[in-house]
Amino acid sequence: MLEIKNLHAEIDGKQILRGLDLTVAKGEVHAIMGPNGSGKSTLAYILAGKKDYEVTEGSVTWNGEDILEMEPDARAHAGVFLAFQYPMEIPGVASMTFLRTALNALLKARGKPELSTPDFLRLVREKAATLNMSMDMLKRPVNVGFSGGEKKRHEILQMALLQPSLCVLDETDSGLDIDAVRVVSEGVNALRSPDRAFLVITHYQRLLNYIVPDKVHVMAGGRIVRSGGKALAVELEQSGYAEYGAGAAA
Amino acid sequence: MGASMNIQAINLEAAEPSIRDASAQIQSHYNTASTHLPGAQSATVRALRDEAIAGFAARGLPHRRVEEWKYTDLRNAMPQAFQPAPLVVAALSDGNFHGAVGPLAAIGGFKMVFVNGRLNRQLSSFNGLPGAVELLNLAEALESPPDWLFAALSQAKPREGDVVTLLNTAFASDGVVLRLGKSANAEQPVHLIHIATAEMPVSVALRNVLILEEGAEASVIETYVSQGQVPAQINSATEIALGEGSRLRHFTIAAENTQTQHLATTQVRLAAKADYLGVQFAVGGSLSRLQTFMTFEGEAARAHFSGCQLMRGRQHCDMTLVIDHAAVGCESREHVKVVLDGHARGVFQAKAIVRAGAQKTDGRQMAQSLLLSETAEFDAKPELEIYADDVKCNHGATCGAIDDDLLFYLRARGIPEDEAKALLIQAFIGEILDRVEDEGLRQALEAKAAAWLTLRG
Repeated sequence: MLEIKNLHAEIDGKQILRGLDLTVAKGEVHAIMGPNGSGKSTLAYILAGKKDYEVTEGSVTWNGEDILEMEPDARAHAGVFLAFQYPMEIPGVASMTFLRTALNALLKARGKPELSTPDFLRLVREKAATLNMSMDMLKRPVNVGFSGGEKKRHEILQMALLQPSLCVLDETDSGLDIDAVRVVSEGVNALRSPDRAFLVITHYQRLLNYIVPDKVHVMAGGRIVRSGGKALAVELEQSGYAEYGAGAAA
Repeated sequence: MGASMNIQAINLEAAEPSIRDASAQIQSHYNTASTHLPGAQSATVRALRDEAIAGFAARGLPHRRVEEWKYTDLRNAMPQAFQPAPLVVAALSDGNFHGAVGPLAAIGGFKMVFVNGRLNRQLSSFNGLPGAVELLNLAEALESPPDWLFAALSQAKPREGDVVTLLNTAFASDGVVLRLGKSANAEQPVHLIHIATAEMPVSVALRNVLILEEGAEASVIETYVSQGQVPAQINSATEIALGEGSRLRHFTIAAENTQTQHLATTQVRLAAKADYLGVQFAVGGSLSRLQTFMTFEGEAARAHFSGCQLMRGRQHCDMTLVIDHAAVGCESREHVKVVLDGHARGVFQAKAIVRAGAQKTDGRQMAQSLLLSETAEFDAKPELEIYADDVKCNHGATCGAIDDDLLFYLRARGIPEDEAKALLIQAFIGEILDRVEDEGLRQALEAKAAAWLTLRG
């Protein structure tokens, strides 16, 4: 279970999160919606351990473990995964090398043997096929020359390979056409399981037609200001974020 | 009385920093060695050497007030000149050979192995050369130098005033002599391996001559390593003459122990449409100066140079180039990637001269460094001297630390910090190593880089 209590955080002295409370149980999918600047991406980065942000108050635990004290790689080993809004391009590092290094690091941290080359290739081929990704694409450097949609599919491929237990998706639908949204969503849905929790951050309701959430939260001014069922997303799509201070960049 | 002597001593030091340097020692070593050096029986070879040592004596070791040596004060770095290595063929066991050469031992091709400046035939293998390809060692060649070799040694006069080349001419004990006739193809790489193994500190000078006649094609690898941790002073010089339309791939790997100083000179003369690709990989030595002088003598020739430095501790590596565009429509590229940790210092100097009339010259330089510590230092000095008006020349330099955002992305995928950094460093230098087409050589260099990275921290 993910438990966030009274989380306050700032970057460069600027307060972004102002007392955020959120609980996500295993097996659940929660959506976080909200206007630009409400702190959604900040929350995602803080969960993954980006150092630019300073947590000034509050706590975050995953399965009872305080993850704020953990390094980003240790969090990944504990099952935390962030699908980036803007996946990084890494010239010079082949995607396959990257995937293999990540998977082996995870196996090693859990005291398991590394995968043999044929087993690894078989696994990647199988997961990539379900995301309509070619093996040729994975011979290229990480995300270099990838389209927006390819980058997002690559994120989901990493998620499928690493099998995290807490998946945080930061605006995974941004920049995707409708077909790509469907492919990515199917990839996410295939991972839904009673042992896994999802936090889906999105600006638009569209993605939630494909990844149907158990709960929807509205974030504004660095806090959760409203929570409800999936109907809340539909309501927001119609009414917009005006009443939550949209446009008032925080 | 005592006081006035002290003052005199101080005055002397202030006036002339050469008081304690190794110049006098070097000349005395020459006087002892010259009668035994290969070619000593030939008056012409002796004259060549005598002239070189006289040229050296007139200049002494370069210091920081000599512009080309601004960042590498050789006079200061070389307070002592080691004795030339004895002119005997040193034995080296197979195990020690492989231990010293590492992954580079596996590269196929014609192998010439030198131990302490002398060819070791047991470790070498260069039989079965294709037609019109001559490969011999300098010491043997100097016993009765063929006309073309003598012409190469005396006509390819060392770059004016370059003391390092003068010293090499004076002391050269051996080296690779490779000549490809018209349209000849060496087919396999020619691999020079030099191993310093002496139990006492010694100096070694190797002189290589590579001549590719019209349309010839070859790939030459120079590998310099040490066995053990004894200091050495290595001076290697490679004279390259590329005939019209010839093509040379030339790799220099300086991977000696961290007690060794290496001065390496590469001189390339390119005739029309000649194509030179040079890659230098420096991962060893206490001080290394890898200097390259290229002269475009014919039209539409091309020279691409790539360099990679991996340095830590108090290592110092200086890659210096002078590119002389003396002909129309030639293309030069210099690209170095430098990774520095600890108190290491990297230097890149590139001077492009475009002579009047060398129109349509296309020259570009780029130096990129990755500093892994607060105390590492990288100095880049581009120089453009352009006397023609229709040319494209530019230069650039970057200096930075590991990108935190990339590091975070890798760590967020569970890759531990050290491993993530190693991956990013490998990616940084990958652009240079990717220019090595020979897969075996590229993998050997990647293995060298990986070994360097595992020593981090």
